[in-house]
Amino acid sequence: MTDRLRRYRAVLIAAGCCSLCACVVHDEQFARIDKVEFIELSPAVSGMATLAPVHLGDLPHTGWSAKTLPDIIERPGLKDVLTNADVAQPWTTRFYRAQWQPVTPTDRLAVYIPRYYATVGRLAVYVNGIQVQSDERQGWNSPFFAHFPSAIAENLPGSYEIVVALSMVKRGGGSLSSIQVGSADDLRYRYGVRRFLQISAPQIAGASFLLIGIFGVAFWWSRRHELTHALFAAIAAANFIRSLRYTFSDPLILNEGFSGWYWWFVLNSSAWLILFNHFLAARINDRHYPRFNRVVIGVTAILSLVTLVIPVLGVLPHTVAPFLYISLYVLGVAVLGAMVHGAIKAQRREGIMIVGAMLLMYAASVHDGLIQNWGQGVERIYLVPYGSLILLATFLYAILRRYSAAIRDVETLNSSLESTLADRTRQLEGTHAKLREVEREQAVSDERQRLMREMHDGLGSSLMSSLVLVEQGQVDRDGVAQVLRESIDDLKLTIDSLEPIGNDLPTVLGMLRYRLGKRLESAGIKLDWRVDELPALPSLNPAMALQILRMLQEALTNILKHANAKSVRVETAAEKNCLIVRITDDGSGFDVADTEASPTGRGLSNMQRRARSIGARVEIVSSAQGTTVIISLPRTAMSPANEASP
Amino acid sequence: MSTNVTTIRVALVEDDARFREAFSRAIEQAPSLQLVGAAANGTQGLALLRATPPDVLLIDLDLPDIPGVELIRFAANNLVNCDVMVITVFGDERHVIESLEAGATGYLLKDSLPADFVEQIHILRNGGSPISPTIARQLLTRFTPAPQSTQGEDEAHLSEREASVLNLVSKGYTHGEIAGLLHVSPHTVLTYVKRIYRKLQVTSKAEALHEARARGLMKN
Repeated sequence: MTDRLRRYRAVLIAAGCCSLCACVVHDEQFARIDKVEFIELSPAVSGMATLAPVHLGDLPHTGWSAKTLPDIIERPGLKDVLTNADVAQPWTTRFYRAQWQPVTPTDRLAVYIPRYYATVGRLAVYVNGIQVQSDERQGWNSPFFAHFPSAIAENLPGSYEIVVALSMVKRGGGSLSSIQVGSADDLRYRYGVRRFLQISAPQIAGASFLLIGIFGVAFWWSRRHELTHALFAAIAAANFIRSLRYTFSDPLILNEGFSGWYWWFVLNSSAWLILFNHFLAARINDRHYPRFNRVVIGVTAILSLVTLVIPVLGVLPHTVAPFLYISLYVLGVAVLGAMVHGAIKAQRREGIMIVGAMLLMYAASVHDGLIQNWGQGVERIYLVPYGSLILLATFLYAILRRYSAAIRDVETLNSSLESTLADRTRQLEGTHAKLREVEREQAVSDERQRLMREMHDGLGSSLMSSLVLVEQGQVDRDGVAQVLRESIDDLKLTIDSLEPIGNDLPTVLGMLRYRLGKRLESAGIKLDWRVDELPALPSLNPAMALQILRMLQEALTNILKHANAKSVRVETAAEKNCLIVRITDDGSGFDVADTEASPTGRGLSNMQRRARSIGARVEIVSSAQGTTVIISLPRTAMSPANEASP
Repeated sequence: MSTNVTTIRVALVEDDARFREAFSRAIEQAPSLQLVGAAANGTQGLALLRATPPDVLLIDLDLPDIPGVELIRFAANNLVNCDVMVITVFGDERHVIESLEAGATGYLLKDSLPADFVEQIHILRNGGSPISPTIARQLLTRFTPAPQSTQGEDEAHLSEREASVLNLVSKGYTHGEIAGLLHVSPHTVLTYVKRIYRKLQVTSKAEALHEARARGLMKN
């Protein structure tokens, strides 16, 4: 992990070196002036207070002293402000004068000042007494660049007098870097690079912060419980506000309206940045510092309030700026400590990277603070925008890592869910297959038992008894034929019961007549067939069909053998809960109770048994006028057991 | 039943020797019937059909060499004016429907009394066909109900009258009873049945063709 970090750092350093080299390699046709003559005039020569151009002829000939650039004009301290030492003479102008002779004659000459600074004030540059104008609009953070006046360039006087006048409100402080003169091309190049690093790049960074901030807000809007995105957006926003200072003039002066708020925002954005960075880093490291959080929030709030109140009290803010910055450095160190703690606890690459980025940011802040508040290294470039970019990129990386980790988790979860589902499906299929197998075996076993009973009770016993009769010689040919025909009829009914008839009870009755009608007919019994259309009987399966056929067969056989009937009526009816089959003969009748009790009445009890087995009911009413057998079949499938055990 | 004075020429294909003998004797004893030959297997049967085309082919489905259905198909497609009657033990749906689809228009239970069996041949020859409730029920579910306008001419659908006949048969009513209920002669009822059998043969042929096309066995 640290190896990788080291690699990143190496890449960054290499990139920095390259851009530096670009500046250095081209260092040819110019001179760097840092030894100058110096004089400070205050109160102003005429026109100074209004910052109008100066007649150099008006400058005194004596009183100049030697000075080495850069020159720093310190801001007065808090004590000076309180004693109002400088208030009487707010304006001052510093003149810096130098003679310069080009080593080699060059067509176009220019003057370039990497940095000058006056909290409130302006810069004027003169070459041989003629003021030169900067090509571009000047801001507090802009370098200065101007061509020599063309008239002078053509005259080639051999030697030039360069005068730089820095007018300012003294208590605002200011600074002047070295003055560079020489080939316009070379200096323009240096000026361009510096302008890019000092203004354009922070501008681009600012625009990026704005864009990232909008993106962060949009992201947070769609998932509002995710505070991480809100914090990220807040950091981007604070960075954007902070980056404004590199572009717009520093309004560190008491101004009415917008300017005051602008200053307040810009100045405090650093504190808010520290606060947000701390919270986001803590979230990324999954650490919670409730008490420390309160401290950070408190300090930030106090700083924001103080900076809000100070202008109202009439104290120039820049006088307290050093204290403000020191507070921020202390707060930054504390937050950095929390980040280090979080990184150690979380043991994550992101945590370490955040600490690294925060260290860079901290170093950049100190570096920039030294330039701005303590006049150190005036010619250097502000680094905080770059530090901010690195820190923000680190946070972005951390959030993306969390996201891709979350997505990976979801994917893993999904695939494991899928495989679990597949496993379960397989298990379920296995169970079903087993269940089907068991059911099939059960069905086969049931069917085997049913057929066994059929064979035993019907065909088997008929064949056995006829065999006995034949062996004993007790029957003639017709008798045997009779027995065999009855056996075959039994068999036919069994086979009929297996035919597909689509739950249609009338077809079952049709089968019965088709097989047994002839026997009634040949016995001289008239059949009155009144089978009507009936609703389907859902529970009518082959087993049930056979039981119905057997019951009806029993009823008809009884009529044939015992009733002495002339006619038989078979009719059907549909009732609310059951379908009815009624068989009525006009025979001699019998005593139902007696017959059912006697051993010869096995047929009747068989009928009852068969009825019970399919959940049906048989009712037999008999008198001297005839017998009626009523079979009631339930229309909804009913478990036979329920019927059998009332 | 029959008013025909000409005798009906019957060919018998039956592999069970005893049944072959019994059927032969019954045919020979009936003055209106003439036995043109009795074959013991499919090959002999085909030769017999080619040599002396009969009016009625009496055939058992289970033959030792060729499936009986093949002979039925041959007779239905190649012999003019030949009625095929299948001999079946139980008259069960699977055997009977298969035969009807091949072109048979009648079937005979193996245990029929000789008198019944001669009468069945006469009825068949006069344009009538036997039917059981099970077969009727099966045919009812098999044919889709006819569209309102179609009459008896439609080959794929049952006419209303034909459907009524099947419905009554399935409930166990005899031909005579059905004739009474529908106000037609019993003979007409039997011809309805035969017509339905013909439709079954046509439909099953169309289905077979359709299936063959679907499987790419035949070109359009």
